[in-house]
Amino acid sequence: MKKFLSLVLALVMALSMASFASAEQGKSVVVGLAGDPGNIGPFQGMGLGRIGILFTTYEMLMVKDGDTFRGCLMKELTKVDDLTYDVELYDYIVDQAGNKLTASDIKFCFETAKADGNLPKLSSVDSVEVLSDYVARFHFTALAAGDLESLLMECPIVTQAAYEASADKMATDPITTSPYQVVDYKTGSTITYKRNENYWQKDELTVTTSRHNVDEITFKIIPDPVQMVNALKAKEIDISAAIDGSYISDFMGVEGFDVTQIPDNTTKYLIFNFDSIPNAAERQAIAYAVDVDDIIAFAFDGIGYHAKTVGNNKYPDFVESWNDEEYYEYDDDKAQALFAEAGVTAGKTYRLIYNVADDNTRIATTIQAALGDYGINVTLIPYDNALFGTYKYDDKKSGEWDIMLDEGGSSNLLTNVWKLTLDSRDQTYGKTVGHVADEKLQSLIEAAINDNSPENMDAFHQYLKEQCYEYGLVSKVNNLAHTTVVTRAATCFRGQILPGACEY
Amino acid sequence: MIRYIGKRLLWMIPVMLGIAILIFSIMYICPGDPASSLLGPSASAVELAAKREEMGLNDPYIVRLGRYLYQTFIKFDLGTSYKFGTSVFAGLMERMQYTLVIALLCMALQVFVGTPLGIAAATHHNGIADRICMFLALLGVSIPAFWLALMLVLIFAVNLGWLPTSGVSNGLASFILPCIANSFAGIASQARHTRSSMLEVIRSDYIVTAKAKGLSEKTVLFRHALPNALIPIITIVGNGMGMMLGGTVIIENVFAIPGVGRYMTDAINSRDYPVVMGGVLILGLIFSLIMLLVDIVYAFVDPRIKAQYEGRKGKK
Repeated sequence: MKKFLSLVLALVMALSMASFASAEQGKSVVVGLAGDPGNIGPFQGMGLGRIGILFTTYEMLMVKDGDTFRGCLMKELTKVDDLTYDVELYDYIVDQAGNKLTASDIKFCFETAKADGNLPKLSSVDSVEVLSDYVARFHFTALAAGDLESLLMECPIVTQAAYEASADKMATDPITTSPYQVVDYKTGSTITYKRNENYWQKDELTVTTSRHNVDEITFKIIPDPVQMVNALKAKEIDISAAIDGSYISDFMGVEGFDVTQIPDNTTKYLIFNFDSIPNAAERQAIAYAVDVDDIIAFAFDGIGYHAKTVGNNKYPDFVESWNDEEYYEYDDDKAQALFAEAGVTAGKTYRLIYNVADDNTRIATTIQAALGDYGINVTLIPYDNALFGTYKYDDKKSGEWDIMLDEGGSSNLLTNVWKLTLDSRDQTYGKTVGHVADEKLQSLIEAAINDNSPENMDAFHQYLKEQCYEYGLVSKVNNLAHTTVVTRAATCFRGQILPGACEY
Repeated sequence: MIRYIGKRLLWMIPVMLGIAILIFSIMYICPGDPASSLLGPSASAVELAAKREEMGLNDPYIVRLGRYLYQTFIKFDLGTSYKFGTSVFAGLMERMQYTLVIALLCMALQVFVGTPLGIAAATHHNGIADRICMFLALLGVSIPAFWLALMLVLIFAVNLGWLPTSGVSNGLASFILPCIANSFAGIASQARHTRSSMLEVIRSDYIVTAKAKGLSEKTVLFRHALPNALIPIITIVGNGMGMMLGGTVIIENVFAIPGVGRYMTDAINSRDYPVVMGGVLILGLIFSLIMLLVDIVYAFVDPRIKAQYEGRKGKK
C-alpha cells in the first residue's frame, strides 16, 4: 500500500511539475490576469480582463506609442474638414486566415460596434464611407480635442469575412490582424496565443502594441490577489500587473524576481458632495487635513506620487507649472483654521463611499484616521463595482454620501479624465458627479475640452482647486512584478502588459 | 414507485416556476447597475442611461417578469449573459464540468474517508480511536476552507512546488488541493453523523441478538448495523452533493477554477441578471433531482419506505 501511494504521489508530482513549470526562456511567457475576459470577441464592453488581452488579440487603426499617436493599421490620416477625416490603410494587411483587410472592413467594424452599443464612445461616429479599397472617410457628429485619436483607438478591427465565418462572433476564436493568434481558450482559465509567422507588417513599421518578441503567450486568469502572489512566487506565471501594492516588496530585490514600475494613467481623487458639503472652506479643510504621504506609505507601500490635479501629470495637456505649485499639501494649521471658519466641530460625521478594493480600503482608512485627529468621524461605506456605479451616478442617492473616493484615467488627455466626473453634460441630472451646478465651472471645462490650450487648462484647474469640488490624491504607479525571464516589461497606454513587446 | 416518481417530477414544475419568480424579484430589487459593469469605468452617466434603456432595464417589473418567464418557460431559453455576450445555458454547461469533477471527488473523499472514520469511532466508542476521530472531525468543522486552502497552497505549491497553486490546466493535479480543502469539513461532518447514527444502531436489541447468535463482529457491523444506519448518511451525502454542484464558491475563487460557483459570483458582482437567474434555475432543478434520487435510494435501502411508496399506490 505504501509503495503504491508513493508511486502515485511521485507520478502526480512528475506530471504536474512537467506541465506547470514556467516555459523556456524567450519562447513563451505566462501572464497573470486578474479578470476574466469571458468573451474575447471584438465588440464587447471594456471589463478588467478584456483590457488585459485587448492589444494582444486585436489591432486598431491607431495606437498611442509612448507619448505619440501612431497609425497601426492606418497608414495616413487626412483632414477633410473639422468633422470629416480620411483614413488610408496599409494596402498589404491580411488577417490570420489570409483575408485582405480593406476599407469596407473598417466600415463594417465601426457600424457593427456602434450597433452593438458596447463601445459608447463610437456614438460620435456619424458614418463611415468607403472611398476606395484602402481609404475610408469618417464623418463625425462632434469632435472635441483628443476625440479623434480616442475614436480611432477605440474599435478593434477584423475582416468582415473572418467575423462572419465565426460561429460565435469571435467570442472564443478571434481571427485578427494581430501578430498573435488565439490557439486555445479555456473559459475562465487560460487563453493561449501563438505567434503568427505571416504577420503582415514590416518590422521597421511595427508599433509597440504589435511587437512580437515571444513565440507563445498564455494568459492565466487568477482572480484572487493572494493566489496571484503565490503563482508568481511559485513561478507558474512570469509576469503580472495585478500584484497588490502591499506584496510588491516580496519581489523587489529578491533573487529570480524583479519589479518594473511604470506610471499608471489612473489617479485616485476625492469628490465632495455639494449637497451635504456646500462650504468651500470645509472642503478645503478636509483636503489639508489628509496627508497624501501617509496614503502613499500605507496604501501603496510607498510607491506612488502626489497628484497635482484631478488626473496625473503624464498627459500632454497637463500644464507643467502645476508641478511646482502648492496643491493641498498636508497643513495642520490651515486645516484647523478652515474647519473653524466653516463651523465644523469635533463629533461631526462624514460618510465616505468607495469601490471596494484593497487599496481603496487602505486609503479610506487613512482618511478616517487623519480626520479622526480633528475629532471628526468618518463612516466608511464600501460598495462593489456595480453598486458603486449606482451611487456615483444616481441623483436620488445624493443624500447617502458626503465624500466619494474615486479613480479615473484616460488613454490620451487630461480633459478626458475631468470629463468623467466634472462635465455636467455627461450626467443625466445636469450637475457634476459631486452634484455641483456651477455655471463658471461648466463654461471653463467646456472651454478646456474644446481647446485644451494651457490657458484654458490652467483656468479650469485653478478654479477647481480654489473651489475644491474635487481634488487629486495619488497618481498610481503600475507595479509589474515578474521573474527574471522577463528582462524588460512593456505596457500599453492603458497600463496593461504587452507580453509581445516585453524583452526576454 | 414509477407513479411516485412521476408525481414528484410533476411537482417540480410549480417549484421551478416559484424559483424563477423569486430569483427574478430578488434581482429586480437588488441595487446595482449592470450597465456600468458592461461599459466599464470610463462610461459617462448619459452613456450608461442609454445602455440601460437598450437593455430594457427601465421597463416596469411586470413587463420584465413576463418577458423573462416567456423566454424561460415557453422558449426554453435562459438568455444571453450581459457581460460575456454568450448563451447562459452554454456558459453553465461549460463550467459544470469543473464543478462536477470537484463535487464528485469531494463526495468520494467524504464518503470513503468520513464514513469509515465514523464507523471506527462508533465501534471504539470512548476509546482512543474514537477520540482521535472526533478530534479530527472537530478540527474539520472548525477550520475555514479558505484558510486551509491557502495553507495547503503555501506548503505544497509555493514551498514544496509539488502541485500547482491554481488553475485547471494541469489535469488531475489541479484538483488535489481544492478537493482536500473543500472536503475537509464534509469528511468531518460525515464522520460525526456516521458515528452518531451507528451508535444508535449498535445499541439496538437486534444487534445484541445478532451478537448473541455468535455472528462475527464484521458481519454484525456490515450486514446488520450499517444498512440500518444508512438513512441519515444518505441524506447528508444527497444534500452535500446538491450543495457542491451549486458551486464551491470559495474554493473555486481561491483556486481560480472556472466552475459554476465562480461564474455565479462574478455574475452577482457585475449584476449579470440572466446568468444569476439562469444559474439559480438550473441549480434548483439539479437539487430537486438529487433530492428525488435520495428519496428513491431510501426506498432501496429501507424496505419500510419502499412499502410506503407502494402503499400509496395501493390506497388509491
